Amino acid sequence: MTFLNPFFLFGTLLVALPILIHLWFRKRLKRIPFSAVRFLKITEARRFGWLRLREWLILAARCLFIVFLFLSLARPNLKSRVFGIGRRSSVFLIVDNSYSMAYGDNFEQMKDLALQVISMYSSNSEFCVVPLCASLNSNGIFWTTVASAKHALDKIQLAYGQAGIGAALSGAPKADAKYDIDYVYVGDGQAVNFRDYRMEAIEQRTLYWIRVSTGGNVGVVNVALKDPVAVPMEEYIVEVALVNYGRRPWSGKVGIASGAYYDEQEGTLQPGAEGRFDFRLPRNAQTGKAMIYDDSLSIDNVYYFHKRLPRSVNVLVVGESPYLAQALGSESDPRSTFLVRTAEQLGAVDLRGYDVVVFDGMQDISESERIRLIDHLRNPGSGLVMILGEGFGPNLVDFLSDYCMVHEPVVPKGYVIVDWIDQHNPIFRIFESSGALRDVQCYGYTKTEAQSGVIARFSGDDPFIVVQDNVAVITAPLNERSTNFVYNRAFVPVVLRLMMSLVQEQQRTEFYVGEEVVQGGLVKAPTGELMRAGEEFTLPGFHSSNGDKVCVNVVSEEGNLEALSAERAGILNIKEVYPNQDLGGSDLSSFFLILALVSILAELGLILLR
Amino acid sequence: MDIKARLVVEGFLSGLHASPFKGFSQEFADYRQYMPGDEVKMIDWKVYGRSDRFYVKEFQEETNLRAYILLDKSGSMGYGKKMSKLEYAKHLAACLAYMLFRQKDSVGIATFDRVIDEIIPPSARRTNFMMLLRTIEKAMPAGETSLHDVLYSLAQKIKRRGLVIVLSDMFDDPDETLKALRSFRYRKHEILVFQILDKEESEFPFEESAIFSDLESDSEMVVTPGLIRDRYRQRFSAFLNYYHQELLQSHIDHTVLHTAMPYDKALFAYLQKRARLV
Repeated sequence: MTFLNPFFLFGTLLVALPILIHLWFRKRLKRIPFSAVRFLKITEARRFGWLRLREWLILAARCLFIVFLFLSLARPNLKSRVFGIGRRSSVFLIVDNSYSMAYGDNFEQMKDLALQVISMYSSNSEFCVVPLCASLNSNGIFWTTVASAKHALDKIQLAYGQAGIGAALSGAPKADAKYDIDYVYVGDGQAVNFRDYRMEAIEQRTLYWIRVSTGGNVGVVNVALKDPVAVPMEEYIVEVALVNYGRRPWSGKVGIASGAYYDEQEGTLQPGAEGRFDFRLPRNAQTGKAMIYDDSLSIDNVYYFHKRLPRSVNVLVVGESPYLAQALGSESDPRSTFLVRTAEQLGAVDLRGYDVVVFDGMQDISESERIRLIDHLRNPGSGLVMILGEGFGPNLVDFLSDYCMVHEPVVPKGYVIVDWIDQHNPIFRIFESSGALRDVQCYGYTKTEAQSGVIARFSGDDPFIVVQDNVAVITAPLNERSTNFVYNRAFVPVVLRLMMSLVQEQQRTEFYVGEEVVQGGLVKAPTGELMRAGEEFTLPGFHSSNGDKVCVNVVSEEGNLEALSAERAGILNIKEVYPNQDLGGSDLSSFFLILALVSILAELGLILLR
Repeated sequence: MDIKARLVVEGFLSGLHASPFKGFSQEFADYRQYMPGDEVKMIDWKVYGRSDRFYVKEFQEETNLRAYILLDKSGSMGYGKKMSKLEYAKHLAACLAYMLFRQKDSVGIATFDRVIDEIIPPSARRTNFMMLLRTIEKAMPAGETSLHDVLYSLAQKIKRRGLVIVLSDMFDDPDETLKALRSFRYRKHEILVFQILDKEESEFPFEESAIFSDLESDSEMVVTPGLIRDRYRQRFSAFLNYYHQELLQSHIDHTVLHTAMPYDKALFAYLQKRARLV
């Protein structure tokens, strides 16, 4: 038995109090020498024994009351038998250090529980203490002693990346285990963390989940340009997206700050709902923070943003087809994203004034044009969009061979549709929920073969869009006989983002923790630490790279505190262990409190019983 | 003690009683013819001179009562606020002794607690009376009571029949005590029991809870008097009644005296008993 408040045990010394009072009262009673005590005894013969017993019982009840009361206050606990006490095992202990554990004092609580687990095993046991959020390297994980395990546990800090139980389990050095392995996870058990979990990872054994309770959470999941295509004049609109992952409605303030600019709105979110709040920002306020208040888990209450606003792109459309030029807009409209000029042949057009050159349905190019294009593409900020026509010559085939192999034209019976796009490609990010391009129909296209860079495919698995370096190839001609793409609502945004991606405007400025640094130079973290390309972002906040702001945010999903359901846990052979009942053992406070009450009632009963 | 006894007894002393037994005394009763075995000194030589026959004088004996006062001086007799039961018993014993002495009766005394402490054989001499008073005066309360043992022992020692006066609170096993008293009766003794009590013993007037400690033993008891008073009184009364009934049946006089009572009752009781003995 252990005591959570052992200092209250000193209170049991007060048991001397009723004894002293008893003796004092007894001493205080007048002593009368009497000749006929034998008659008193005869008179009380039947009751005398009972009276003496009653007196002692009352004293005992008083003493017990004090003892039980202070035992109750000392919070006695019976140790758990879930893991068995003093069992010798190889314990693979996954401790949840994802940022959801920053809720209340859950992280400290988790560490205490993990320590408790370690202490329950035999000192001869071996341990692997693995943080849930970490770059795992199975070569670096090995079994250690109790002391090392405690030390490792002590060193674990909160992390901000995405977590996965499956990934953590994959690093278990099973082959080196000396004993049977006990798999133990201590954490809040967010359902999202179990997505990669497979029972095979623990060889059909039980995963003990020592549960740390959580509440609800509201987080900022994104700050996006309301209109990512329109070129803003003096101000632009950002959309702050919030999600209420809790079970109660949330009401609070949403604020946005950028330099001297600050604005806030009142908001309400129903449980499970996503809310969007529009803020109108000055054009020069492109870096800032969106914040919410009145929420328990504060880490995802801030979203750092740095927006590159759309700017006009100088586009040269080479070709005879009018559709593209018409779709992209007029040169005279200052709010247009595109400043489009057209030319039937590339000829001697000076390409230096253009960001993007679009070849629309060109059959072939001359050798000199090919060389000029190659030169043009060497310039940073320059790009080429090649929209294949219904036929092509050898120079064009040769030029494209660096990006994809062009085969013969295909005329399907009926039409094919675009049935796959790379959802993770930034070009399609704005279509995540709308399923852009899904309803594009194609009546004729050029069969091509690309090793990489395919970001959209037809239903026959032939590439529709191939992007490599600063060249994009669209395999279907843009005319009414070949495709209805130009009439699709996604056409302009896709083409814009495609062109933006080619002219390196796609260079991301907002990342999530856990993503790799892709900037060419060094990135400076808020802590001052320098990060190289390929390293993972580990902290949310403003980073800097070559004087530019780079924003890193926490993964919004990690803010979803919804725990794995008991049903699902059962299916996955995950045994929930409730610290108060199973791990910390039974809390006997109430039991002793009841005993104290029974004692005091017994005393009252004895006093009234004559 | 002597003076006090005199003062108390004076009013009750109404002269000597005639003895039905004839014996050696100053009062002439009759002549009778000498018979062998009579003492020669008893021959009246004047009558021999006149009648030439041997006659001896007979005198009327003034008394022949042998009284034994048995004084209980056990611890329980020490109880009493203004006057302890023993004090009362001592005064009463002195009074009775004085009365007996004045009547030329032989009076002896035995003081006892668990055993016989001191014993003075009966005698009508003044020196004996003075010794008796000193013995009474010396008696101090102490020790446990074993009334029946003492009575058995005394019954063995007292050979000649007489009057046995018991001054005690009788706080002993009633059955055993009664048996012992009856053993006196078997030896033709007349017995007068003065049961001396304190008012508090019979009425138990205490109010506050207290520890009642026994005067004769270490025994003690925490009692709330109000709770047990009625039952106690009933018990005590039953105890006295039992003695009274049983003693009456055994032809033993039993008088209950409280220390607050004057000695008259006791003396009247004695005189009534004495009258019956004449």
